[in-house]
Amino acid sequence: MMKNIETNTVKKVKRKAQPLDIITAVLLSVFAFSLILLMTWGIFTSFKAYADFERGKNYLGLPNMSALGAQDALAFGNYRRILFGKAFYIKSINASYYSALFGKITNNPNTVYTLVDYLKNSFLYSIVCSFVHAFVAFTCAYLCAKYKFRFSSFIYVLMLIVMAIPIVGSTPSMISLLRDLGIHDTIFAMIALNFNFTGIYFFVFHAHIEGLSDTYMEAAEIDGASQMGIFIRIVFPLCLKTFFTVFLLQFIQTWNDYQTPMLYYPNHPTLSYAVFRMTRNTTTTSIFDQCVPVWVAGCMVLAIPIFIIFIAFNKLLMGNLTMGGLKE
Amino acid sequence: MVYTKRLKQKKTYTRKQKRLVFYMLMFALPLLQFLLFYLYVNFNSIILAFTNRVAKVEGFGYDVSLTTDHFVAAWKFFFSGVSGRMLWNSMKLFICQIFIVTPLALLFSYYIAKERWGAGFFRVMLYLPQVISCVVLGLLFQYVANEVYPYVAETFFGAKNVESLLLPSSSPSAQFNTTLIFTLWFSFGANVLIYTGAMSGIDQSVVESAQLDGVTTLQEFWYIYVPMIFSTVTTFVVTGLAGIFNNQMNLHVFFNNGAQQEVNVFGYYFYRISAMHVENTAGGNVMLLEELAALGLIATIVLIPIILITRKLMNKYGPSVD
Repeated sequence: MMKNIETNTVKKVKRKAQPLDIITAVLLSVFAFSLILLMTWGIFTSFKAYADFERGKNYLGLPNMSALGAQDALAFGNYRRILFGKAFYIKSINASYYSALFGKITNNPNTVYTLVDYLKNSFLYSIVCSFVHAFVAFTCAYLCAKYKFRFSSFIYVLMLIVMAIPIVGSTPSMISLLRDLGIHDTIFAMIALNFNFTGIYFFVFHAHIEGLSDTYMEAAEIDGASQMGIFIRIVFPLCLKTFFTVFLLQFIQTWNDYQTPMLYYPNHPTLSYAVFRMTRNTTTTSIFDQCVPVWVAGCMVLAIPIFIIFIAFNKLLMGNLTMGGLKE
Repeated sequence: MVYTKRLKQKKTYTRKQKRLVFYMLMFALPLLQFLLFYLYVNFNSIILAFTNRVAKVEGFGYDVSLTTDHFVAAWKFFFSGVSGRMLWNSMKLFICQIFIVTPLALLFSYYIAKERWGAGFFRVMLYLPQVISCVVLGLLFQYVANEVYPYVAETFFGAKNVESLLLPSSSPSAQFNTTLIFTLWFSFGANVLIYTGAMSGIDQSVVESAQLDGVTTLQEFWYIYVPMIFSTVTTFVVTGLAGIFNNQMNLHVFFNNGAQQEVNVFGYYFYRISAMHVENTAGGNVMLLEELAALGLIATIVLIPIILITRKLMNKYGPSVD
């Protein structure tokens, strides 16, 4: 018997690489190589001077130090233009118009935004909205999982239906509602939009909380804890890891999202939105500010914070966040 | 004894009451949000599709009247050649996702779940595009397609007059195919993560007994792993189908609001028209928002039965665990 097991183990270990494995490894290598190549190209290009890239057509090589403006490249010239110069300035959206549907909206089309505005808006939007969404999903999942009322079952089924039925083209109606409420283009609109418990995270939290033993809560209740006390002091710490993971995933999504702010928060450009608009709607006319290396440097500025988060928390982010909670 | 029983009853009642009050208070705001921003918004879409609002000449407010004009216009548009092309483009994307991305994602997931050579590294690489903004990857890719690709083709391969692939002036076929490749190439992350999670839950005794019977890697993949996670695959296919009218195929990243008509997909069209109205760049020939709401309604009505049928067919005819 023992010999059999040993032979099987040896067989398993010594199993030769089969064609399917080799083909998959090759495909994966090509994928990884293409991604690394694209990112490396981006990093090198962000250090190239205007004269080097645009005039010298140095598209593939390392930054050319003998080219005109080499000192500029060495001194992070493109990054300085993005961080401290005018390369990153964009104009306000000209939203001064009359609309039968939306009513009168007036904004100053000459407002110019800078990096400080983008960072402020990005952090405000990403941190607040991610926390709000994670917390609301967590709260509702707790109520549905641990308060066995009929309404809880109804809500659970309703969330399944909402996820299964696609709603197409509700944007006009949403804009109309936000404007009627007088909160369009304010942070309250973004909070209101994220104050929801629809979506996958409700089910992630629900499964996790349902798996928690009721004895913790019952013991706290016997000790005289209030319902809110149980929720904040007992349940929340037990789900902190899952909560933090959902918050991080949501943060990454909102940080990278440029389309939602563009529609519902248009005069508060986030960094992502600014990078998108930078190549199309800049106020500066200097060719040194409007060239591919500067735009690529802008892309890198946007990617760096997320890249740092990914490196720091990659195990959490890529953990098996399933309907069964967070697997170790 | 009787006193204790009464006290207990009273205590239980109070506990229930407390729980109920807490439950109602905590649910109140999220529920209000749901009623307002989901139910009302979608109901309002229907209202928008069937009403005409004209700003009053004197004073504030609107003159509202019922009309079927928007719905008729949207209906005509839905069955027009422009819409047909968008539908075909959306279908091409969906078909590629099902027949190229899904099999490759399954294959990659199997490779990672079996912890073959470099599995951890490849897992990170596959997930990375999900983390990096599509604006960053899209713009880098666009510059490569517009500046580097023609230069390389002409300098190293002797090609002549090579066109940039993602300029507004590029040919529609070049634009569409390049965008499609980009979208498919960087869309493995979420699929692979979920499929790998599902595969890691497969009972290893089944796999080991098959290995003892001399099963090859391909057989193991096809007859054990794929059937055992097919419910997850079904979910992904159905989700992909549900998103067919919402998927923008990254066209907005590459072309802002100016993609050529030939490369449009429905998701991009919906977003573009909404954005043009917000930015006040919609001209007289651009679809009205009321018509867009009606078009969304038609798309939803068309899509729901297709999703239900697809789900039923996949459950019925998909590979069986037996």
